[in-house]
Amino acid sequence: MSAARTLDWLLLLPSLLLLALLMGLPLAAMLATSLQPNVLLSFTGPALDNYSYLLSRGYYLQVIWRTLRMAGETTLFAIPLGYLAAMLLRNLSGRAGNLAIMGLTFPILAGPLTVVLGWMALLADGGPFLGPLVEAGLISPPRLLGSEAGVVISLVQFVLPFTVLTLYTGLRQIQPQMHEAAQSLGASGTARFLHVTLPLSLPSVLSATIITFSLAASSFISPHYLGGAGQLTLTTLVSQFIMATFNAELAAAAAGLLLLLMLASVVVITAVIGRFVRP
Amino acid sequence: MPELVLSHVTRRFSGHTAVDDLSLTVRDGEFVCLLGPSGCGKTTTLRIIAGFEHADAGRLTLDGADITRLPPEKREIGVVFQSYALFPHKTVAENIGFGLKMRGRPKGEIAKAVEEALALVRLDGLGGRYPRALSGGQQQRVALARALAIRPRLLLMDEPLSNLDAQLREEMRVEIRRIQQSLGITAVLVTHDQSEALAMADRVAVMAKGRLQQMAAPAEIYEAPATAFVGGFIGQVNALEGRVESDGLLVLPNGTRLAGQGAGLLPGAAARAMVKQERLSLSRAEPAAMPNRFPCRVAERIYLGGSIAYRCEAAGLSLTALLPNHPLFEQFVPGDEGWIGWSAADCAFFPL
Repeated sequence: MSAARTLDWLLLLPSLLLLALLMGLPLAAMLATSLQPNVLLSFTGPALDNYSYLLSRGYYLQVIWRTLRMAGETTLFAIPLGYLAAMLLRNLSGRAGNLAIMGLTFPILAGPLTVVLGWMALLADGGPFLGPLVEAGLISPPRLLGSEAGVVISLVQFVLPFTVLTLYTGLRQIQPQMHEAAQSLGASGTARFLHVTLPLSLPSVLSATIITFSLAASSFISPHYLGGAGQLTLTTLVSQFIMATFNAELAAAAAGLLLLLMLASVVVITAVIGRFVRP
Repeated sequence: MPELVLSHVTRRFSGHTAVDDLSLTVRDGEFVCLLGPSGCGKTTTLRIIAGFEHADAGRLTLDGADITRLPPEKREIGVVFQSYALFPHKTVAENIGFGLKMRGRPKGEIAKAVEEALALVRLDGLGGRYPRALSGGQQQRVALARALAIRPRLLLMDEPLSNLDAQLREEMRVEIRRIQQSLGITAVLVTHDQSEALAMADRVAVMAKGRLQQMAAPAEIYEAPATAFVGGFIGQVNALEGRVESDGLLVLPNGTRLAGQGAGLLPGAAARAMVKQERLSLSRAEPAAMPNRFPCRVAERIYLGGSIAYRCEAAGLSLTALLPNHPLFEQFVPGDEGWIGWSAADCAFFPL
């Protein structure tokens, strides 16, 4: 190895160490904990009993399925909405574009808790969204607080800035001449979108889908405040194991499951969307 | 007859006028080069013809039909971009067939047209490759084939050769000209490279600051520039400023008199005399036949391979003579004394 290469590694070392320390160690500790016996289950660790316990109870399987379903639903709404927003954003230039990006990222600055508290007020039964419609007799009183729909609505809003910015970056990388070339060859607006914009943006759709799905599946605040005990997901389940039943080992196993499921989802998403990406 | 006519076309961007009252006609089957320095409005003009930019004022007609407001996808105009703009996710064949696919032509017909287009640009057998697997020159040919496959009424090329290395550029000049001639297609090429324009075009349109300076055959542009700008922009020139004394006579500030040609210049008017470097003669003997001749001293010798440039000092002026590197021509070294001279016919006066 040359001296320059050694120096490169030396320069990388501090951040690598920090990563190992702050991410790797807790992760290893958590995974080690998840293999240990606990107040509910006695076995001689390290073993996978905690995992098989979670995977053999219908209730927990429901929680796992709900976690994936909500993340999937959120992604299905957020990607098309985000794509539209990214296309609009691409057409804005200069000041208007900067303002739009600032507006888009404002919820991130405000923090998810503030935003979720806002949704709690908005989605409440007599709230400003539904109240007037129900009073006018237009719709029967729906329940959004504590329902899956309520959680998904707030999750979509929570992930959108990330979805839009990822897609926007991808769309901006497409040379404007691509569209002009297609146009000069006789492609209408729809044809240009289908044959040029969409296929060329697929790599960013792939990364946006992974980011969106992961953020939605690992979100805690939305399912916790808007879903409550009736809409437990893996994150809120972990919290319950820690805060309510004081079972750190099962909590660790649930968190380990979430991690595994996310990794598997990334593989599946990449395989599905990746099939459409041409070299 | 696909004839392109621009009448009084103007395009303003915030603060400046990119194209200023431009009128020109490209005849059927003609190859026209728009030539000018960067920022002269030539690319904007091309984009207006293609329909990517709108004209703030003026009209465009193609084939006698007004296309001023027609969207680009309906103009049937093929465009070759400076960056080629090949679709990276489509194969060469799919790129070339794209325009026909958009026209809903049957697959068999498209395949046949793609084969023909590939043969035309001498890329037979490369249809299955992706653009990134091709060299710059091959990508350039694919871009040309793609633009031609739709059998356009007009072919537009925006600096198509600027990304190629020098030798390939010369080859492609000949190649593009050959293809244009064999198809008899009307073509407009934008370039800042004057040798490219002179070598390829039937007529060259020289633009500066959004205005058309002169539109004529290459030889006329070179030999008989219409404006001081064209005179100074085309070729390498010696420019000398002075005042008109009488018809065909210019007095320089140091009292030197030059014989030349300049129509319609009144005595007393400020004017610029221009003479191309290769039209200066440099010799040891006095060139008695030349009305403009001065004893000179060679100050600098620049060896250019095919020719040699001598910077000479004569009558307090600095003049550069370009001589062929050939045994028939005398050779000089800095410090040599000699005579520099030129004819009145090679010396053009322009009003300032």
